[in-house]
Amino acid sequence: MNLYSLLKPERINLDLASRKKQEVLRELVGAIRKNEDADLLVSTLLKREDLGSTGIGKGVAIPHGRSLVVDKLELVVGRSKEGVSFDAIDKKPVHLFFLIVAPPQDPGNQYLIILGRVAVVCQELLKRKAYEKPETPEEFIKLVKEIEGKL
Amino acid sequence: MSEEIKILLELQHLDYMIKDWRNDETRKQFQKIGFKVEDDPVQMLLKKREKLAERINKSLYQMYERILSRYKDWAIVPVLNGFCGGCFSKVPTELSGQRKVINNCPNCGRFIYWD
Ligand SMILES: [Zn+2]
Repeated sequence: MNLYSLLKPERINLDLASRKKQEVLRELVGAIRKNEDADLLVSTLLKREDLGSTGIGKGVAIPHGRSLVVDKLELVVGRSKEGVSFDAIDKKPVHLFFLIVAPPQDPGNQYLIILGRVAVVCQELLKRKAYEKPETPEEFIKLVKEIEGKL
Repeated sequence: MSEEIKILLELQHLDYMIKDWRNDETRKQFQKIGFKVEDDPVQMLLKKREKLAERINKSLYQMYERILSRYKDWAIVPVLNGFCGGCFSKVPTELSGQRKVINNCPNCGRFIYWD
C-alpha cells in the first residue's frame, strides 16, 4: 500500500505555527475535523502521548489513534521549521509530523500497515533532510512518491 | 453535545486504545516502529479509564459496560443521516428533537448521539 496515494494537499501543512505538544496536535487535527470531533481526537491523542511520546527521534513524530469520527484512515502531514517540543525519545524538537487516525473497525489492519509504512518513509525523508525541500504540498507528495518508488 | 455524551465517547476511545495495546501483533508493530512506552501501558490506560468512569453516574456507566459486553464493538454511536451508526436502522424522528439528552437506539440499544 502506497502512502502517497493517501496524501492530500489540503492535509499537508508545511509551515506549522504551533510550538507545543497540545497545540500542534490541535493544528494537525484541524486539517480533518473541527469542533467537538476535534476536541475528542486531541484528547485521545494526548492520552496516547501519556503512555510515551510518539516522537521517535531525529525530529519525527507519528501521533496516532483510532476514532469513530473518521470512516476511513486519514493522514495529516505537518512540518515545522522551528521545531516543536514533543518530549521525543531523544529530547530533540520535532520538525516532521505524520498524524494517523483510523476508524475502530479496520479490516485488513490498514492502520498497522500504514503506521509501519510511515515509519519507513520517514527514515528516507530524514536523509539529507529531504523533507525540508518541498515548497508546496504537491511537491511533498511527489517526494514521497519518489521515495516509495525506490523502496 | 452533553457532558455525559462527551465522557462516554472519551471512554469508548480509551477502550479502542486498550484493545490495541492488549493485542500482541499490534504491540509488536508499535515496538518495531520505535515507540517507547511505559512498562505497562494497559495498566496505565485502565487507571485513566477508572478516573473517567467516575465522572459519569454509575447507572450510565453500567449501561455502557452492558452494551459493550453485548456488542463487543461499540456502545455509543453517531446518528448518520437519521440512521443508527451501530445497527443502521432508522432512528425515530421524535428522538432527534432531544439532542441534549442521552438516548438509546430503540432497535439495538446502543447509546446514540447527533454530531
Ligand atoms: Zn441501533
